Amino acid sequence: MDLLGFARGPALKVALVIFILGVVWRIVGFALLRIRRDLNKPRASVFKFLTGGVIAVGTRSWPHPEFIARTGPGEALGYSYHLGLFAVVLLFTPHIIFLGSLFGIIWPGLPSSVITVISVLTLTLFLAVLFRRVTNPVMRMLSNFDDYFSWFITMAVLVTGLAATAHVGARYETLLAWHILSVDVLLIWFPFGKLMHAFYIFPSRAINGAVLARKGATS
Amino acid sequence: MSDTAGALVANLAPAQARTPEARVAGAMKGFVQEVGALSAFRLESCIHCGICADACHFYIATEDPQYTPIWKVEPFKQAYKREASPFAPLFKLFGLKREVTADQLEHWQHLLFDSCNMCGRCSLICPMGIDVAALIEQARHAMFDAGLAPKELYQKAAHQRDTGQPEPSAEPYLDQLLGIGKRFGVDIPLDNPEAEIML
Repeated sequence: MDLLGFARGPALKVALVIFILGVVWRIVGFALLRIRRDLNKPRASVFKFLTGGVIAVGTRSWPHPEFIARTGPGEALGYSYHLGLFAVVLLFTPHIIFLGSLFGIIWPGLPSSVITVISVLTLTLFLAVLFRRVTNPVMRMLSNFDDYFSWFITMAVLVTGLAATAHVGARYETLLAWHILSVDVLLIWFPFGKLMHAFYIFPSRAINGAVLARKGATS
Repeated sequence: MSDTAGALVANLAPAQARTPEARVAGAMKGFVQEVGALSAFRLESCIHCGICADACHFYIATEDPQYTPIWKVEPFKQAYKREASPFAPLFKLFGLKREVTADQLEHWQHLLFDSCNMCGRCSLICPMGIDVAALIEQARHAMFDAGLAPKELYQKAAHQRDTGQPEPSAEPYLDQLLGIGKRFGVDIPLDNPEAEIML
């Protein structure tokens, strides 16, 4: 078996199994902890309690007006590279075909040249994100292996994908194999690190918004 | 004497009188026991973006990163990951999360008790929606259990337990309330069973 066959064969299968089991366990593992009963009298109806959760998903998607002067640039950077990643992952035709083989549906993609431009922009933003993480005293203090490895493996997927598309550095099959291998590593790492925020972000906002609504507070 | 009262009395001993190991064990036991699914979810959700710093008065005034709100619960996050998180066995096995030390907790006394007024702005700004202030409150409880809360708090708690009022006064609390009610012509309900409001 050659490297490409290994990358998209057994390696991908193992990675997907670890990814699925890991994600499920990461969610079930803490959900099994006891749920502490809130003995306080609810300050809002069940309807407000539930809508508070839904509203929080929306309100936390946008910088709070009170803080936007301080947080706006960082949040713009965060949004930009996430949008770039979504575009590259979900709107590049070869990716659509691969995802279609997994889920059975396909959708229209963007031309390769557009994806290449978006990839280069996203890669540049990714470098800016790292620069910010190591130069901003707060982020540097909070950062640990998880932050840097999650950045590194996502960057590796981007770089190898770009190299494969541009046929730069080695034979196409070899570059594609490295690209798929980097995706395999990302899938294996996913449940163990902060990449899990892809699954947490909306439930986290919703649950905390609902808890605050129960207290009679807005979020 | 209830368990709570017993714990209170035990904690009235100065923190220095307890061994460092006992202090750490007390804090971590308290926190891990208190951490439920909701707090675990909050701890799991943090993406280290540091945005909460931009809402904290202590950070804005000093620009000192240690005042970043989520950093104020860092030892407890460390303890949760090591002791109670879904991958805790892996964190322990590979030494990825070290045990919290007494020195660490003593340093965090300042961050938890002197550098947070529980205004909740950090909870308002968090893009993941984490109620950081609620985590700080839980961490304070753990520090209390460890004998690492400010001694004035233990004194007030003991006074409250013994006299029913947190502050010393010339006359008993009950007499004061009755006096206030009489002076202003207000009926102050006292010791009502199943009352909805506790004064």
